[in-house]
Amino acid sequence: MAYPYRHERETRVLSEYFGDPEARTLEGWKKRGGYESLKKALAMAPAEVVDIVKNSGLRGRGGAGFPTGVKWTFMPKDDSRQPHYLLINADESEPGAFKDRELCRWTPHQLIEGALIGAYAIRAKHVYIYMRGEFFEPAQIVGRAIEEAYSAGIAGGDVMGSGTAIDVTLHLGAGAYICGEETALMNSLEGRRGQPRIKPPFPAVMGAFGKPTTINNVETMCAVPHIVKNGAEWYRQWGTEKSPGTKLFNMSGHLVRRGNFELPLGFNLRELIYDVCGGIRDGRELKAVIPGGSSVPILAAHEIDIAMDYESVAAAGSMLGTASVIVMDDRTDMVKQVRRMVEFYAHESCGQCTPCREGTAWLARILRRIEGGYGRPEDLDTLLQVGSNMTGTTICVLSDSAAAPVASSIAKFRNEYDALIRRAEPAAAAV
Amino acid sequence: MASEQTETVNITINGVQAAVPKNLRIIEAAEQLGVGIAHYCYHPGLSAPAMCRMCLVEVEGAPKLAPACVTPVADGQVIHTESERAREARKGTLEFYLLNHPLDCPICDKSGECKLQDFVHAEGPKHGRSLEPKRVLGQDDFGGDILYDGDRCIMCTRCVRFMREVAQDDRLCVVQRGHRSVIDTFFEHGVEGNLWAGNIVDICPVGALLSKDFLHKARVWDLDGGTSICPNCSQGCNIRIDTRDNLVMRLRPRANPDVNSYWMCDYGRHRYEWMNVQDRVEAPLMRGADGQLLATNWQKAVLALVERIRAARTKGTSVTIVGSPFLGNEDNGLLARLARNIGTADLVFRAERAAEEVPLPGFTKLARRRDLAANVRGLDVLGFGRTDSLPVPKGGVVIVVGDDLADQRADFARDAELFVALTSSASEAIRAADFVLPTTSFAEAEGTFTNFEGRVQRFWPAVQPPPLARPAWQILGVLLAGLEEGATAPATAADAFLRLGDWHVEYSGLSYDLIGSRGALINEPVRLPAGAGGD
Amino acid sequence: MSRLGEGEKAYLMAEQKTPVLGNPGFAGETGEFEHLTEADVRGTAYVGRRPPEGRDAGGAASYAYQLASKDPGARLFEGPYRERAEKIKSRYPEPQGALLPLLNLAQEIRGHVDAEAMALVAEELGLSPTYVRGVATFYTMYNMQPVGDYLIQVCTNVACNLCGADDVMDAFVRGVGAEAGEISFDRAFTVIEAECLGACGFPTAVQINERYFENVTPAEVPHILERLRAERPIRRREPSREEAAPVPAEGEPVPVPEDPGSPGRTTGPESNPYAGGDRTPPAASRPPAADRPSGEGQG
Repeated sequence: MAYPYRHERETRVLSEYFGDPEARTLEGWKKRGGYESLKKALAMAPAEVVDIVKNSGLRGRGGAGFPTGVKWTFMPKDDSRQPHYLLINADESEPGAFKDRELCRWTPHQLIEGALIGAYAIRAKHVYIYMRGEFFEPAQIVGRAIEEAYSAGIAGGDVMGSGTAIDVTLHLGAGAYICGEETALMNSLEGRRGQPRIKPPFPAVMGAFGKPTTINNVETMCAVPHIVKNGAEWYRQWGTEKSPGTKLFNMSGHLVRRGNFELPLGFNLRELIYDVCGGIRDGRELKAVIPGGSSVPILAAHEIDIAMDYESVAAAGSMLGTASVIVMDDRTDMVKQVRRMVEFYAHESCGQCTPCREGTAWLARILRRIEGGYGRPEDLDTLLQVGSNMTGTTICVLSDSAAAPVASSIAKFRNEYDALIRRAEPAAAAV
Repeated sequence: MASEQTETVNITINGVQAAVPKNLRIIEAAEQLGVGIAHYCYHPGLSAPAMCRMCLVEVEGAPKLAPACVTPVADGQVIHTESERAREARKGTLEFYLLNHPLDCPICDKSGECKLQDFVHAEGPKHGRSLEPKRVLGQDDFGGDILYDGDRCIMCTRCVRFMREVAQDDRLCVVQRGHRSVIDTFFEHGVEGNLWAGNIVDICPVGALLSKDFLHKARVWDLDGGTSICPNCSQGCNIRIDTRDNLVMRLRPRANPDVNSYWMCDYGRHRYEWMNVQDRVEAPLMRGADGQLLATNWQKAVLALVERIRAARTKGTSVTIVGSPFLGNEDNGLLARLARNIGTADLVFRAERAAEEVPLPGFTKLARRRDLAANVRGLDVLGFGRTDSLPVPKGGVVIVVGDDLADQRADFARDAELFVALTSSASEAIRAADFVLPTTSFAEAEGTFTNFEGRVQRFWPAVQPPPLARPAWQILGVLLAGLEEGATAPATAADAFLRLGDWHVEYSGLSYDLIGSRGALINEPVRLPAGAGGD
Repeated sequence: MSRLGEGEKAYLMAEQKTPVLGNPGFAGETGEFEHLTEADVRGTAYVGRRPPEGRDAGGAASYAYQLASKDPGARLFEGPYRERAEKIKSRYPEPQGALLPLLNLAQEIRGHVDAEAMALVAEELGLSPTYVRGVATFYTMYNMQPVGDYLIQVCTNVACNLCGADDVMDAFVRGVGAEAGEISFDRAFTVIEAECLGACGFPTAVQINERYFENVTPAEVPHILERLRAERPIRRREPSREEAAPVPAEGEPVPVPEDPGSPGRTTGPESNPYAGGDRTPPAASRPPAADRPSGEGQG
């Protein structure tokens, strides 16, 4: 069964076996060269594995883009006094992102192999894969793959006969976007409310269950076996100096072809939309693009001639995030979509910090009022000021994320707000 | 402690440089330097979640504002609490608080001591710009004495953390998340039965947690009162007595790290009605020749009483003395002295004893003690013996101070030669006395209690006594002056306390100044180990 | 995954011209989970074969499995569930780590998490019931009130919304004949709006119990509902008092059941007196927006 679309410009490393059910089985995975990287890694010293990943320049695919190898070096070198943990973040909930689900459901062994290599590198005895609770099907597939790995002696007390013990546990969340934030994820894993923690202490010092912990995204871990197998230089053949490698681009919205497309980082956004994804549906015009999931500032149609790597998107005033590209055509009601995004953040705010708890809900209410035809001219200033009061004042960045689309949409699509508000003036006078 | 060399770091707050202990957080260091930093979720007796975002301060070199409640001080740190950025952040955060907080201050018990009111008044936005309707949740009965008003709640979670960390009885939690969060109990199971739950009303920075007992009873700006010690068990929690119109309205804990931290129990907190007894003895009463108990003035009463005691002393009669653990050391100390002046005395007192101690798990120095009166240890030091049932005096002199004998029969001291009662309220038994002298009650007097571990603590008057009532130590001091060669009556409570030091080694060297507001331990008499002595 | 009866399969065959599940990547379609029975999932065999103690403490802790045949009165952590609970607990260094998996298990068995379930989970892990309530209400997947046999969660977040998710939501609400958050009269369905389900490339994504339906268009909604009605398990258990209202056959007039458990929720899981009602009104009751984008062309 063919995966929905393939495009000849794709560079399929992680997604090579998407749509290939046989690759899900241990046997099938081994046939495709699976677990050779793990074997290779186990023959090296943990520090060597860290070095390879560090040299490859692999950056975290969960959104922040922090260099993975560097993150691993934060872990204590000595694991004799207390256990280390590796947490795999499979709590994919950012609107626009749907790559980890695909990786889990098509290549579970790729994830497990990467996780075992990562655990070996940071001397973790236990890997927890924290998957969002809605992902029942990926959970079943990953769960079964874990069983297979245990049965074959790949996970468990003696990983591939190396004498190293690494347990792998699949843990399911229960519906909370914020648990994708790494400290909230640790709280959730420990059976607490999924509220982000104050840093410091950082996870590498005091993480899950109070022990040194590293948290890595699914896509990051899936890249690790390939890097270990082929070397750091091989991985650097793609992408840019600072953002090497390939990345799954999650394409959604008004596109002819939607789905995951694996391309080198630095790929041009316009080509991504018009060439790889076949352009805008129904022959419409492009209006706006959210390049990195709903938390990042919106780009207008004329701003899409940018390279999709961490630095270039940041230079364009937005963020690469999870490379979740949401494309909006010229019929899109910006106010409505921004309202929907802000409502999401209001729904998902953990409620700890006051600016986020109250601010997200307030923004949503103002936007709903504007959308409903009761907007007032001063509302836009209020929105911007409230957004600014929510930015940089909280423990995590959910609150900043809620403010970002509001500010960028007012900056770039103010006319749509104004049109609604002008039409509303007689009605608003009655408010 | 003082001898311990604490490491210090140099910090600058608002332009003032100072050395502060190394392990402090900015908010604590600032407080030591007299700089107040606004906060809601932080409480010195609880963990700090840094979630109210009120205490954000500008630390030079840091990209974001730092929460002062969790950020440790560091050498060379330059902190601004009043910079434009810090003030703008507080103003913005206060606006968020006001979005859903009902401005129902006229009917809110917390009004006047509400931190939201205070901070908004100080630096909040002057106009609300929200057009959106406020969230309406209504009230929820949390059981026991506690009422929850969800509309007013600002989600600081102090109450949740108190129950979890200090009471260690997890009865409250935040349910839901985001702007739908509310504080709740486990369905119909509230906080009832927990002896410490009342503290959550004190620590609630707004009027979200209310005491049913205090509900709509008084405006806090009308409250008067005084600094005191809880009289209801031998722990000696530091409290404040709040009064209105000379009536006690509520008791609240006062911080003392050696005794009760920031807390007190509900047993003590809710037992104050006895301080409001209106049926008072309002003038000295003396039994006349016709056997009638009649009002007189203090001079006549004291002179007559001194004569009667002298007569009894010469005859060498037996003396029965009843003291009170609800009265200070000064009162009971002078009583003991008087008793010895008269003759061989039997000194007794009564105090209720609970079946068990109820400790506060998160602050183990504090417990509701078994002795349900403040000065049991003090009476012990003074040589009083505890009794469950008062002996029926067989003749002799009987002096009862502070015990109103409410449970005794009218013929309690029928056979006594001389029956004197120093009391604030009269019972059947007391009406049979030869002298009934009106004293101030606990809440009206100044004095000291000695708690279960021997800590002497001062209390101050909180309500006005009736015009003719006098502190017992004063009455007893005057009597002693009349009976003892060369003795003078103490002029003040402090003076009366100093005299205890002459008579009891436990108090020697102690003075009101030395006790201060945190209390001082009595001198423990040296007890030689068995066999080590010369006898 | 799909547990289709023969009749249902025939029905689907007949409908092949318009595929009911326009889901190119759905794992169930590959046949791998065709034969997975409820017993497999509910028993101890499938979830976690690893021994409960020792070093091999891995495996899956639990699945957030939501079954159409719920048993609200079932005893938790007894019989076959005891072993699963023990295995789950063995996978965490601290008992509290097992809190979410045990709540998942409770919901899998009963269909929702009520006060009694919270108290049992608390006892199992040595926590206070209040603490468990605080944690359980934080997470939206725990149903605090009973829901219909099929909990239909329609993603209306931005990526799906651009492609007409509101219309899909409306179609579901109309199709089940109950307001969003209410249990339908035949107790088969509860439709709610969901936040991003992580399937943005396949709009509109709809999660029905544990299953994802992708690329759902309003036109497909009646077919999906029909299929679910056909799949619906026959209750094997005496209905409890509150459930005594008989399940009517198709097309029959439906009696109004006395339903204490209609959660009346939109997206928050718990119907409590504090339901802060400022979520979006259910799509069906929203005023028609003249300039709402009509979404993509409907297949």
